[in-house]
Amino acid sequence: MVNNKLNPIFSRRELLQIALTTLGFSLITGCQNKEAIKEEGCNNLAGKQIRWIIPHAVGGGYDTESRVLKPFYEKHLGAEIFLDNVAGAAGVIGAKTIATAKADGLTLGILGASGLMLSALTGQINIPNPITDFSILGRVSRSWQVWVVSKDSPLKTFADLLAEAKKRPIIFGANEVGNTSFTTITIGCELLSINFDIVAGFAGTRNASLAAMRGEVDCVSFNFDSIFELINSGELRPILQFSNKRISEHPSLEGVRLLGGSEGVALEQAKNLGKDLDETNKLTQILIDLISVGRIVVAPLGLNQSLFDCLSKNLYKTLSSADYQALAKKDSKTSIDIANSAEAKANLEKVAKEILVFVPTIKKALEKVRE
Amino acid sequence: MIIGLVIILIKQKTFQPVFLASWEGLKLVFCWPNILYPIVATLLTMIFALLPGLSGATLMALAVSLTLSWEPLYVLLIFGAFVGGSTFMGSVTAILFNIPGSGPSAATLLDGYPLAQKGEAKTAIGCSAAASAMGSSFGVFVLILLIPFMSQAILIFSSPEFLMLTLWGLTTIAAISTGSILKGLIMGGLGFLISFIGQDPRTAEARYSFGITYLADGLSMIPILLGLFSISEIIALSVSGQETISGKTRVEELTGSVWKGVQAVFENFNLFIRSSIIGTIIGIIPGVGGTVASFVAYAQAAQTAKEPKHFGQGDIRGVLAPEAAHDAKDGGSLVPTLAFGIPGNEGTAILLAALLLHGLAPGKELLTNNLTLVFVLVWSLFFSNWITSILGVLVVSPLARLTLVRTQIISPIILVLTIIGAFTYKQRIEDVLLVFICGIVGYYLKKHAWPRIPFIIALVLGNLFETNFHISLKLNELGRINFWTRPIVIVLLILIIINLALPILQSRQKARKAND
Repeated sequence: MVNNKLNPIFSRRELLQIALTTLGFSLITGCQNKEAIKEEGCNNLAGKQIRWIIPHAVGGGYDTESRVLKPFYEKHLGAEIFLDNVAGAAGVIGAKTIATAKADGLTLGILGASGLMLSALTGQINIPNPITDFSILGRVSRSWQVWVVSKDSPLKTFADLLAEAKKRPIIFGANEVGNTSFTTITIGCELLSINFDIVAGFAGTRNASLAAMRGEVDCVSFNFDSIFELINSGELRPILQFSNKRISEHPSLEGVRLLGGSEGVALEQAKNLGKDLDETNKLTQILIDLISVGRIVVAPLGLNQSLFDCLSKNLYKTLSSADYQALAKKDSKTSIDIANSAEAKANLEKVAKEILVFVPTIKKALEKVRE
Repeated sequence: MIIGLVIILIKQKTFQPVFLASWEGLKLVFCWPNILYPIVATLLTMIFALLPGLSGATLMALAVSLTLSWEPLYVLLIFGAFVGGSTFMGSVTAILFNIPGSGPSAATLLDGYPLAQKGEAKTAIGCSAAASAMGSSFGVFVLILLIPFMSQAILIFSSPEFLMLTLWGLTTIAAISTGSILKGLIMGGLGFLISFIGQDPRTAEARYSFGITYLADGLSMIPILLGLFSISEIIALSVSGQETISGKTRVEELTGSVWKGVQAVFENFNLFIRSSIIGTIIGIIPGVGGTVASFVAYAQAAQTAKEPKHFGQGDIRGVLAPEAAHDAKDGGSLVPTLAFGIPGNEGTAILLAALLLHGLAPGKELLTNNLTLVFVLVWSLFFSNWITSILGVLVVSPLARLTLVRTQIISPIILVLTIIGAFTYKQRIEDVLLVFICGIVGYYLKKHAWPRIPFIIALVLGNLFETNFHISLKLNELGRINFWTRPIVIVLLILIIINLALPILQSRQKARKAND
């Protein structure tokens, strides 16, 4: 404190002592306060009921994952979780419900980040942005897409598909345009220079898969977990994995080509067609990153730090726990690829910047379908 | 004849392992203490189905988490009962109060409630119970027969067949339009238009939603049904000053009986078989659901009746057909679920999740190495359906007396139940608003003799028609299908032409007779 006449009330030495004492005190209480803040956040939740929004119907992948996670997360939080399926508009209604809820830690949810980012890219308005409209608490799993054909299809391998594509367009089946499968098909075919057409509008993954089994379409592209039962029963056969390495130890993926990596089909095709290899590699990686961005747990934006810390740290503890992982592995056929809040957010931000390069291709494909 | 067929099938090599597993499964379900599991599960399902806003699916979803550590046998015992026991109680509320317990029960109220208004609630409930139990048995029987051929059965039906099926359902609008056919067609057109609100199924573009989140996924059918039928009837009852729902005040005045309802199923056995076939086939088609099965069965019942104008006025066949269909679909919906892991509806989707969490992967392995467990599920479903029907019949007298309760007492209760049902459906206050809007509109439609049933049929079938129309056209354009080489398409096309031509021919015949 210095008076206006520039005669210090405290000497310089005294001021220094006060400053050092204050600093030291702050450091001690600050460190304690981190834990205290987290404790405070968790204390606010203890014994309360948290609404966990699942933006899809009961019984689907998001629903099952949430039900597996629920008892373990409840134990770590000391709160009760009530699962609420708010389905509609391909997950957008549920996402909006989370985004517009009060940021008091009592509303959480699980989202498919790639789907929302793609919806926004394809020009749909009023779509919540997973990065800017939510507090990201962590990633539960990644999704890996595969191209599959029917067991009776004459296209036994990816090489067969490429050879056939030189003669006629390959017919893909998809649900609504703008979702992850549509993007995988569109961008994938562009990267691999495959002549293609899309039959869009199938009501769900399984109906499109049935169309492949009937031979009405040549190929479909879906999350490996979503069509695992059909692959496992031998009705569908994977011919391409959208990744840099094998996505699962399941025997159906033995010898199935990868899109990315030095041995991937993208680079191989680029070499054959004289395309820029670096550019191809870059675009391939962006596509793989986009479609595998995974399922994230979110809360509304504006959570106070203590609540955020409590929720995110306990989520990561839950996801890392051995008993949760043992049960989750029964549900998931690919490896459990979790991430904490910071990693999940950083990954999303990276992907969000990179995918803008795909906008012209997706728009062109959309116009073709909308004709 | 059925026993003879069974004996012939038992002797076939293909079916011997099926029947052996079926027998083993039956023993496992009915032994002590296993029998307690489906009984308790059925009772819980009935309670959940009766309470507004809750459903069998809610109970199943809760059970997935609670049964994670159970043995697969006990999980299948209770989940089979959940799937089988959830539909009947929704039909009871539809008949007594015009409140559909779920989408599939909506078709039942079209003639069930008018029967209750005539004092014949017992007949309607008796018919519902019998058709429900027998329809479920039919579906289970077909399921058992199809086990060796499940894959082929599912792949027969594709977009052109669904397109023709929905078109056939839509063309029955003309047949069941009470009063003016033109009014019926206009209401059908409006129902169609309303079904387009939301997202385009191909392009995901928003249609008629005006940027409003509530409309982004279209208007939900349950609030529309609750409004058009339940609220509108409350308004009509209040305005008319009628003393009770049935217009009667004493128990002795209630006509009809449970046995009359049960008898009606046997008197219209051809209709029962046709409706059960429709329900089973639609159950086999993934993603179509019980609501479509009920309405298509209702529409074909009206279309094939000699006097279709009675439908909507309390025709017992209007109860029989949807009830048989939506319970037969349970057996059918297990076909894609067990063969491919493709759920037919919400209930089987949850069942599938439960199976997977207990290491029972659908497909060849389940159907060969675990066939006995499959039959535990099937027999539990079958048993549960019969328990609900028998219990329903036992309590039909006290239930029917609810139609004697004074309007001043029962109307507010129905109003509250309707509001709770509308709100708890998806926890959206906008659904309650929609209920009231539809209630007022429904009242005026009823007052001025504009039929509501064509609107509902078009609303239910509209999306399915549109999706399959676009896919069929595209596949045809790409040369992947040929409409004219598909026998089911041709048969349905002929039925459609008959549906369209019949009212015209009938009216010409009537005019000729009048001139004579």
